[in-house]
Amino acid sequence: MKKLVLALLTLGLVLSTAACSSKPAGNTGGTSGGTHTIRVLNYESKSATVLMEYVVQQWEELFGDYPVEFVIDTLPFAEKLQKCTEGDFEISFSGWSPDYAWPTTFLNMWTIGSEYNEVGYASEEYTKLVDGTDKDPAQAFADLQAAEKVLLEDGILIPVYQRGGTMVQSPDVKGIIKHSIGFDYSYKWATKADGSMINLLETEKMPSLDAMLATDAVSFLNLGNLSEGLLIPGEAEGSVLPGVASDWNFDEATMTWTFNLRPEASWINSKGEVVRPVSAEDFEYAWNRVFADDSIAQYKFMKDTAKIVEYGAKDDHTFTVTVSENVPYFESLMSFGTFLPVPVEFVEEKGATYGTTLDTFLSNGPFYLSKWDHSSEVIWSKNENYWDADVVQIPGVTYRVIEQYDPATGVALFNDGAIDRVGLTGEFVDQFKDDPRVWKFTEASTFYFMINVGNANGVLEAYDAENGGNPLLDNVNVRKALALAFDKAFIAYELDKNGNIPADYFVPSAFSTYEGEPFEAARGEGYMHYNTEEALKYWEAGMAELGIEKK
Amino acid sequence: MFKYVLKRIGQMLITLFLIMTILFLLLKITPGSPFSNPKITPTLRAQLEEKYGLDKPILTQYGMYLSNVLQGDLGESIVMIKNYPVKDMVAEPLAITIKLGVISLFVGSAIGIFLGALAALNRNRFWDYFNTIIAVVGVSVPAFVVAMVLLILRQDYFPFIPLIFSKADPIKGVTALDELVSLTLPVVSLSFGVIASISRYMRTELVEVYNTDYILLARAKGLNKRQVFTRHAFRNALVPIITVMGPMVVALMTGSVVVEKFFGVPGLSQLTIKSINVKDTFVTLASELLYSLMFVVTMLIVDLLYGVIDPRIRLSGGDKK
Repeated sequence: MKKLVLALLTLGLVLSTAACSSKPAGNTGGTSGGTHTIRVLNYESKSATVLMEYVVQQWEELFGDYPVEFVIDTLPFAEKLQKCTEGDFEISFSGWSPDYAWPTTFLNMWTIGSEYNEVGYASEEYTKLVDGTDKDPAQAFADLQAAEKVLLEDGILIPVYQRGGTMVQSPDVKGIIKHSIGFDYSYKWATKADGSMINLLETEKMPSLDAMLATDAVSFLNLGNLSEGLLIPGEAEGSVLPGVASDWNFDEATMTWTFNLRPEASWINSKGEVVRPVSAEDFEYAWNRVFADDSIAQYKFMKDTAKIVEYGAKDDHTFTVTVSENVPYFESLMSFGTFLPVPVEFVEEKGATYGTTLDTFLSNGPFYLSKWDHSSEVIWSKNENYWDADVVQIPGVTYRVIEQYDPATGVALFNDGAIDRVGLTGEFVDQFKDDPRVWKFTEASTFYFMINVGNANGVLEAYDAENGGNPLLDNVNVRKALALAFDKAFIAYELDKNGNIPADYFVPSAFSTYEGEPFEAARGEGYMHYNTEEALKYWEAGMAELGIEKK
Repeated sequence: MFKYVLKRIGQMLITLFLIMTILFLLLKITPGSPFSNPKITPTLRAQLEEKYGLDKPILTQYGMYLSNVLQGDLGESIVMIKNYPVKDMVAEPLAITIKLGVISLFVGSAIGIFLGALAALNRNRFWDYFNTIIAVVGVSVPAFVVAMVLLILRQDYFPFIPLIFSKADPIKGVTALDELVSLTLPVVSLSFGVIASISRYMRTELVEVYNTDYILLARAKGLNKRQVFTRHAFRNALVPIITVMGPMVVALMTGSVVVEKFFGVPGLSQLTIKSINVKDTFVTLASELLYSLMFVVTMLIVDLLYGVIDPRIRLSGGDKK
């Protein structure tokens, strides 16, 4: 009896604590005793914490004459995400990576009505520049470049860096292609000096090999090498090479793409045996699955992105896609995981278990899945029945899974020769500084501060243009001041040293081009470059407008 | 005795039920969603939550979960391995964690008992001081520091010891023995703490036992030092150690997070931590329930063992309450 009472008391205590602690951090823009607060939301990560403290310190130093204090709130990632969606933040440090090779994947986050518009930015001008239809492609591209300028000069986003990384790789291994969009690496053309398996480390379990459910990097990486769509990504960002389709063409009159599939492309089981040839029906069935109204596929919006009107299998080896508009990145999209085929009768047979284990998946790419032990290892073996098997020069790739991974373990394994490549962070970058095996890469992802100017009730509600939450941040001069007040080069080159590059822009460099002109051509050095004098001037103007006097 | 065991099992079940309930509610109340990919739009999130029944009231979800558990269905993973039965997900990590914990316990206890006895028999001399140092270091130094030091030492002095855990795989030629050997470093890291506390307990208990009347009587009867030790002192000193070993087993299993991380052991600890971070609730519940089950079963075994070893307890009915 006593124990039961004790247990119930504990339960009551726990529930009341939970109830009390779930009060929102509050869009207060509060004042207390004359001091104004600006809250900055961050997620739990060592590098983000260090960065945030540096930036806030710069802000406080520069604007210290005014009664404004900055408070950093650090939350676990999932919780922070929820707060951002609900509009329960003032400034948030976030990042974004592209889904396809066109600037709209970044820029259409902030248009009126976008479900990603967590800052509630309600600018007709910006929306028209990004969304406007009936433009000729050259004008559309120029408008996108102008849109970035508007966004940043309005101080809605304060970009900090474009992400990069450092790897150390065994000199015996060559030919691995890195992608910024879609899946991270292609191993089709990889080579290893002694002709043995390439050994690598993976730091997450693989959640699913069902392209419809796949949302994470590991699933896509595997899908990208074990499966093949109509086209496959080439080495240059946004370029494509033949995949299951041996050739393809576009007919302007009917606005239809026709893909001719090679008859030798086949589905392979986990023993490397051919099950049957890949057919156009496999594509049609897969796409129906992803784009169905009740589908929970994260990327089902890609049907609209590609401007697809209808599609179908004309016969076993011909697949057609009709579009309402021929977007320049259509082919790049066809190499993306969402558009992969699935073996029809196999998927129907396996139902909800499709893509969860070794025996519930079929490959059709340069490698096939030969081992999938969820807790320890994934092995790809060379697909001898692949149409381009002559090009594949390694017997396969082994991914050893170590979750909750410590970089020290990875480096030790690399030094042992147990793995052929490892990512370097923090002090390990210094350790390998002069090592010729190190290579740095830049990804097409940017990290930035976003300032809530109109999201008071969540992205699905109407924006509250008058009240984003903090009246200080509603003032454009204050936002500009914050943007100009800290040194991004210091952050990228001194604080982190991971290989990030400082960014005065939002759409990454070396990411998209139109008719040979890179997107970044229009912006020179970027926008809102570090300048403490200008920052102070904007700040003082903003303070004057808000009626806040020096301390 | 039988009634006692039945009563304890009943208490165990009530405990597990309460733990499951409290944990379920706690997990559901905490903010954050399993769909925490920034690319998921609020509309899609709502669809996903509907599909997995996460939009229903908490009590309804609890009822569904309870009825499933009673039928042996621990649910499916939503995030970590989509649509994969949780039962299958936790089975292997559980086995590995138990293996690691039990081996560390035995190795640590054996060494700890030996060192403790040595210390007690050589009071205020070298082995006693040595034991004190080991105990203080073992209790003060965190497991991840031990793990890092081992990594460094291994690189320079013992490169032949496997760095990370390798699972037995007949195809790749990794035998069960190889698997055991690959657990060397994790076992050394974990048993450090065990050695520290067990050796202290052993020393204290043995010293206390040597001060008792019955030991004096044994010496008076004419038994030599070795006979006194092996026939009387040692066994009596062991009894409290067994009580301590019980909770230590579970502490080892829960505390192995760091060790699993450093040496790539795919155990239950890292599965639990990961599932909490990504809010894969069913996985968290299943692994926490397993921990609770291991704890209550271990306590039951220890209590029964205590009764078996110490006749005083057995004769007084076994129920210490």
